[in-house]
Amino acid sequence: MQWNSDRSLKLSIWCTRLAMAMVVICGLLSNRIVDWYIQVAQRPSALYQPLMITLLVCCIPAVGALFWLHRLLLNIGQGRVFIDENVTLLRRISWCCFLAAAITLISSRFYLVFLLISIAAAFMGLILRVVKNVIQQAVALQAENELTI
Amino acid sequence: MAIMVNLDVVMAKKKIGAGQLAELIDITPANLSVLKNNKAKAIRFSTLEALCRELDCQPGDILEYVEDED
Repeated sequence: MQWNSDRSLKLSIWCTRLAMAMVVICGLLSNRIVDWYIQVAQRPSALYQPLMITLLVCCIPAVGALFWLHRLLLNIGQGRVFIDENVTLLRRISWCCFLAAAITLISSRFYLVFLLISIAAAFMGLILRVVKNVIQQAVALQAENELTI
Repeated sequence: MAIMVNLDVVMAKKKIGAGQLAELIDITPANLSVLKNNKAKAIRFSTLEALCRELDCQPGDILEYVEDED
């Protein structure tokens, strides 16, 4: 099977849809997931509430980020790459990462592992902001190029 | 805008239509319209050269510097 950018994009779109479904399922089954984790990782049951709240609250930026990522991938699929809408979508996704980082940073007071997730989410948000700035410059360059006769 | 494109004036003097000129200089009528309506951000030397050749004029006849009011 020959691999090309079209197939890669389709795979990304389906992975995003799958991730979105998994986040929704995680949100719906959060109590069971947290119960299972506390048993398997042998953590104190007092952790149940902070873990549960963190998981549920983090589902909001996660769904938002995946929804906007899906729209971004659809735009790319339609050949609309360097457009203002994609800059806005990247900005929103990066803010979702920073929101998740803030939530997990607060939760790290109760469970230190969340600090690593917080750092990873903040780093991801930072990278996305850099990509957003690059796309923003590309949009301006494309507009100038299109108006060069 | 500081640089004005007076293409419509030169075209009227030479009595040439937009479609015909676009075909002669090998650009799309839409792009010629952008140029005529002062919406262009830049003009390639190759386009300017083709315009001057087909309209039998100088770059200064097509482009004019106008002092900004502000």
